[in-house]
Amino acid sequence: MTVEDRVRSATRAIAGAVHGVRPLVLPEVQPRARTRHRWRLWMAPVTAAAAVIAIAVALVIVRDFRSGQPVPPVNAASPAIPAYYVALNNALSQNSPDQVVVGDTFTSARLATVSPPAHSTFVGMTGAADDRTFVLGAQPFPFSPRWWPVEPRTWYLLRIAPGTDHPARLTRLPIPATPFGLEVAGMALSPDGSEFAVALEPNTSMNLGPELLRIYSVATGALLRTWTGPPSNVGWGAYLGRDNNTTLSWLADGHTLVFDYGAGVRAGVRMLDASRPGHDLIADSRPTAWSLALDACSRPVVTSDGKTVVCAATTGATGGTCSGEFREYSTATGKLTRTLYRYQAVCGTDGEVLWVSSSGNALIGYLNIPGAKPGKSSPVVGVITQGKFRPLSFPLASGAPLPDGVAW
Amino acid sequence: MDQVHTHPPSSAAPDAARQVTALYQVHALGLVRLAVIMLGDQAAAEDVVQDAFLGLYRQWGGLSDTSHALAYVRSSVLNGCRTVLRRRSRYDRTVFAEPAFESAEARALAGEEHREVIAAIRKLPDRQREALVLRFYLDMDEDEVAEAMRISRGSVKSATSRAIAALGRMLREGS
Repeated sequence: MTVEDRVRSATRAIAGAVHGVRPLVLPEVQPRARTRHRWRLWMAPVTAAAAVIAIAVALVIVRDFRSGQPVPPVNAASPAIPAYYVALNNALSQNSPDQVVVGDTFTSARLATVSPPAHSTFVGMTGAADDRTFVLGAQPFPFSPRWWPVEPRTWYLLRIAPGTDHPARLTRLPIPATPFGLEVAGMALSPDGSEFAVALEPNTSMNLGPELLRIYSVATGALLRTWTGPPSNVGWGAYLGRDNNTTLSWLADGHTLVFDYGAGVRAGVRMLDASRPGHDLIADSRPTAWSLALDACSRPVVTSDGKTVVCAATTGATGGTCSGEFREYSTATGKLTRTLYRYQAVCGTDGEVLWVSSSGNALIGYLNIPGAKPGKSSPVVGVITQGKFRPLSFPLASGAPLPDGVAW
Repeated sequence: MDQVHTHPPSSAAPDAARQVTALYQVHALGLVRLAVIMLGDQAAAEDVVQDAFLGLYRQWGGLSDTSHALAYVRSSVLNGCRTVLRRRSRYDRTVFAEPAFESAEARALAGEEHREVIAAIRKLPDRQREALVLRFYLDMDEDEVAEAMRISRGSVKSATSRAIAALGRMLREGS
């Protein structure tokens, strides 16, 4: 092995041990005013004209929404992309609480903006299979950067009704708030929206106890089941102000939970039959053949038929860019079954699967592609199907939604 | 009781705080990882990255082209790491401290071989260490490294080549 290879290998191993960073804390001061340049003087009317055109287009779209009865939901069994999503409007900062935007996947229209209840900020969301029912997580605001990941989460039900006068309705759920000291390592609403599963992980620095997987009734808030296991520590993903909403999921059968477990020899994707008695997260679940050890793939997402794992990886560097791939593996054999999409990626920035259809034939992916100039990157979100990528646009303050900051 | 908080769409342009925070969300983890390689200490690495983004926020209005923001932050992170290492070298001699890992498991994953290489990298002079890490960790080409370090391409070439030679010597001597 050459010295260069040893440097690559060692630096990536050290870097790979870092899984999360604390939130950015900005002071309550205004940055220096930007100097006006002459070319910007004529940009103003051009921008205004573009805004008028955009508003006109949006009005046509809104008229379509408003013209008739509520739009029927997408068939849950269909592989079609869900029509509506809920996304955090902005990256969480200390300056303002985060709202969520309810949007149309294909028209980029914004149906509603939902503010968090007083003294809280939204940090997570997960959706049922009907693309109309979502559970949102909120934490106290303002928050302490030190205790940010482990502040209690309270839960809200968001029902959306496109085409009506009240496109979004937020209701506090009776599900108890998470205890202080536990991080939300995953959350998933059952396909019919009746049960809410949440994985809770003790903060590594606080060492408060085991990993917990709990299922609550959405209607009553009652705790239905609890499983415990050794802390996972890795594999649930980095905490960047948005609670993980992809690596814990329900299969379409409505009783099997799939989760990515990161610790030790048990690392990999596991399946748990939530309808059977038990309380031991590891003993009661069975491993799939797919394991993180098999491939350098980012957070795996299991299709709702339980047959495949879909994930993103970045490989082979040439001149500052790498080859990014979205891959599909068999849960039965752990083997690569197909490469769903290849693209030129920025090295060190893996893509993410944000949503995947029941069979894996269509997915919504987050990609970090090289920007117009060397060394610059640009995050994009779009639909991947039949080896092609179709970018989507979002009416969000942050531009593209960030991983865990959107749910379909 | 229902709590409905809906607002009509707003067309307000994102402000500096939002743009800087959005940039942080996308790039903070990668930059902290870069700083951890340099410093071996995640808390210090996070401080350096926070300071770099804070500097970006303060300078945002003065940036002639905000598409250069990432390059600006990356340079700030490198400068910040250099400052931390010099301060350590001067006061407490912990430049070559073992990297601080999140857990024993992570430590085990890193392995003895990797720790040896990282310790050797941290013994290199600033310029050589930075060129080496940018070149082989981030897989930047020489032009990109030159832009990030604000030095010429020729200087990148010589710093990298000297770093590899020095590292080779150190690793041979250590084995």
